[in-house]
Amino acid sequence: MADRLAMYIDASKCMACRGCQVACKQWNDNRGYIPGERETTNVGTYENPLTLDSQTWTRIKFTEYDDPDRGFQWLFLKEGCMHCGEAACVDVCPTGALKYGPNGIVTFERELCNGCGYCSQFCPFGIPQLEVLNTLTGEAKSSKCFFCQDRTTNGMKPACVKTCPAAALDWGDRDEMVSKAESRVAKLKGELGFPQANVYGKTQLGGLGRIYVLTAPPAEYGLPADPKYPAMSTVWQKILQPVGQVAFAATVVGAVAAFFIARRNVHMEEVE
Amino acid sequence: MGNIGRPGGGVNALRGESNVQGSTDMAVLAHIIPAYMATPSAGNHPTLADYLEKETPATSYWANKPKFLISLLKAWWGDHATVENDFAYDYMGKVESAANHYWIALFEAMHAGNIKGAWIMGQNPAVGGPNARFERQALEKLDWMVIQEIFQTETVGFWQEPGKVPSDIKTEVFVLPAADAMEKEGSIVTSGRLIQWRPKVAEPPGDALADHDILYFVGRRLKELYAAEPGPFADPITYLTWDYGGGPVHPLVGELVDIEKVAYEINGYATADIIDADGNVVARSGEMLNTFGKLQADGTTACGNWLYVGYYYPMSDGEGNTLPASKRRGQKDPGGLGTYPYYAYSWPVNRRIIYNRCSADSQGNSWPGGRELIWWDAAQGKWTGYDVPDFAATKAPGDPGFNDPFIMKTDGKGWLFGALNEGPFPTHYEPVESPTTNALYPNQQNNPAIKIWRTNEGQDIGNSYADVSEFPIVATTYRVVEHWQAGGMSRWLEWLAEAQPDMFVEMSEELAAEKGIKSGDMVAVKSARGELKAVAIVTKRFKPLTVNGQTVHQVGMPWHFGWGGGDERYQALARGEAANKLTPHVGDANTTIPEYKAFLVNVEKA
Repeated sequence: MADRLAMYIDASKCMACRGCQVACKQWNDNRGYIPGERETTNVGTYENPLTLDSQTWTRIKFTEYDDPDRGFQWLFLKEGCMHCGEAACVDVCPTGALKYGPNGIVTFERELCNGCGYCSQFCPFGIPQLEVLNTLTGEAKSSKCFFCQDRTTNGMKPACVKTCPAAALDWGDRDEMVSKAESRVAKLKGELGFPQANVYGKTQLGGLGRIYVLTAPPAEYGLPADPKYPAMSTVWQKILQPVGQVAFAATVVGAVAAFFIARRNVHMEEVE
Repeated sequence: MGNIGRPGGGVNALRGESNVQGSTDMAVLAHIIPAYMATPSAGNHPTLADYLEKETPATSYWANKPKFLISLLKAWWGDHATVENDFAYDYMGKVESAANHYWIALFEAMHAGNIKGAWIMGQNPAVGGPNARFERQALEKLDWMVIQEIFQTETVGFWQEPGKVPSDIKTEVFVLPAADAMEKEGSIVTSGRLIQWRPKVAEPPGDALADHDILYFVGRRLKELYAAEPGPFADPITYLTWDYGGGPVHPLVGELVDIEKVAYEINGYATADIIDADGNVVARSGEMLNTFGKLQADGTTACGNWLYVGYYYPMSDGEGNTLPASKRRGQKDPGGLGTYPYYAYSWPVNRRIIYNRCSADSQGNSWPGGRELIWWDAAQGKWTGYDVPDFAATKAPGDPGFNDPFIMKTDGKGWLFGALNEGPFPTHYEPVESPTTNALYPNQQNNPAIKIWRTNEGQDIGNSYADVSEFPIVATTYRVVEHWQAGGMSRWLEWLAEAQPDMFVEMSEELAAEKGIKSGDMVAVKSARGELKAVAIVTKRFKPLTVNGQTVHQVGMPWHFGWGGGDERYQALARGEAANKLTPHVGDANTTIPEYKAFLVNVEKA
């Protein structure tokens, strides 16, 4: 995709100020601490909220790492939707709420979401988070970062990128972001002395929409080194969904047939 | 850093507040009046003549101090400041000689019952003050407290602290809801001395008012009361210039401030036509001044801050617009050095780089290697370039004083050190509470010039100190990015409270193992002055120290937290105990800044 855009995330420059986490909530009208409803507590870490959730589409994950080459490193990872080139969530979404949008953005339309939760289940990174809105009816909605589509389709950068005071974040043509990451990694490995520096996201899952510069192996950040497109999602899309649609059609046909048969029986009874 | 007076260099102070420079320029400190003149004291400066004689050096630009002070008096008392009454010098408040009116001393005086009332604007001493339990108790001893705040902080509701009985506390508290910085118009000043005018971007909610509107209202009421019932010494109030009205009419307090009138007074103006020796008009009566070079010592100028002269004077933005200098947003950068002389206004006289004589050599030529800022131009017979010279620009190489450009110093030279009480150079002393002895000066453990208070020593709430036998762990306090100072601007905001919701204490894995503490446990941290509970963060980032051959453990705490403030429904979202319950009343040798950053504690699983 020539016009694919991507977010550049340089973990070596991130200072974990969490301006991105807050700017995302501000732009997208998401909530923070609400007494009695949405409370966080300190459980012995700077990290909070402890996971992505319906109101938190990006957050910083903190990891303490004893680097064999450099000694101690405090690793900061900006979490959020990876906007995979081959996105399992798009393939399993039964309603079309998740789609491949313009510029490689995996878009999300909340109105179309029926809360089935398959996206959450099949995402190799565990990103989309299901929020149950009504425990009686089971009504639920998924949510995730959609690269501030309202901004990025109007020539602006995502809110998190705009606010980053450390220049750890950038936004632009995916090929440019990849080459920026590669030259940063070369510098980190060379003069800056981070022998384990690496680019993450260039090739995984059809290429991710987030291109990370990491100073430690991905696993140390909790990222799968080689994320797999979940086999079941193919089964789901290619087999179960069509089967389901056939089954649904068969049910309708059956029901109509049953109605006519029943009516015929009634008529027959009247005749008799 | 370093390279003072050259583009890209200089003293770049990292200061804790967005307008700390502006506040200091306008005399937020106890020892100065606006623009860095000494606070008059009853013993040293009983008369104007005493003040001018003792405070005016024979050389340096400070030789003009009479112009600055008399213009200030004219700004404050206008036509009532005359030659005959020493320009109303007697109306100025004076401190006792050798008084200490800095933070700790104020709270000690309150605690001792010597201060009866306190007027607090946007400060939260119940959380931010050292030895906070003592300072909260000092607030209880006031007859009255007025506080201007944007939320119900712990100081607003100091009498509602858990464990206190509000009916036992007799202090009468007046809470005046204040506007946030974005809800009012005015200037802020960066530590680069850049004065930027900022518009109001939102209306304050409810009855909240800008601080200047609150003060304008109170000042008007005071003047009315003094006019109705003048006491023995009413003149300083009744004659005070207080003509800042003209803003919209507010339903509760009436006319609000026209902020431009305040800016006009601070900028300075002529009170009569000023004619120079050649008969030229320097400024017409009422006209604003564009340089402090025009200030007079005869009462024909008024000026609220001599360093700011010109900041509100109409000037070009380099793009065809003329507007008050600090409102300018011109983007031209003629020297390509990032000085942007048409953007806002830099005191003094729009000088972008202070001490800029250092950007040229002893002959007035730019240093080799580019970044040319100003230089001596022999053809024109003066200094020229991209900045306003910080010295007499017409002195030629060889002229007396050509290489004495530090015009605020009596000898015109750059000084390597100033007049510090423990001077001339800083050196190492141990904190009052220390786990070890001073390895550098075995016979001088602490800085000899610091101030240590011992009020109520040994009492439950007092200025008590301890040694390592009882409190073996070194503690320090610091900030986190999610919160701002004592939390009055951040702990009430849901996005920031969510990210950093609770008080915590950080410690090494080694100390935690010794004490049986796991990350996330509640622990008790105790000093000689107080005790608090906090969540333990056990981290590899803290390591035991080896000090003079001994293993010493260290813990660290953020100091932003407090129990949540006033009425339950208005309390902070992020709450916790204040780290300053543990810190001491020890003041540094020069301005008695509290010794917040080093003290002894013990830590146990709660």
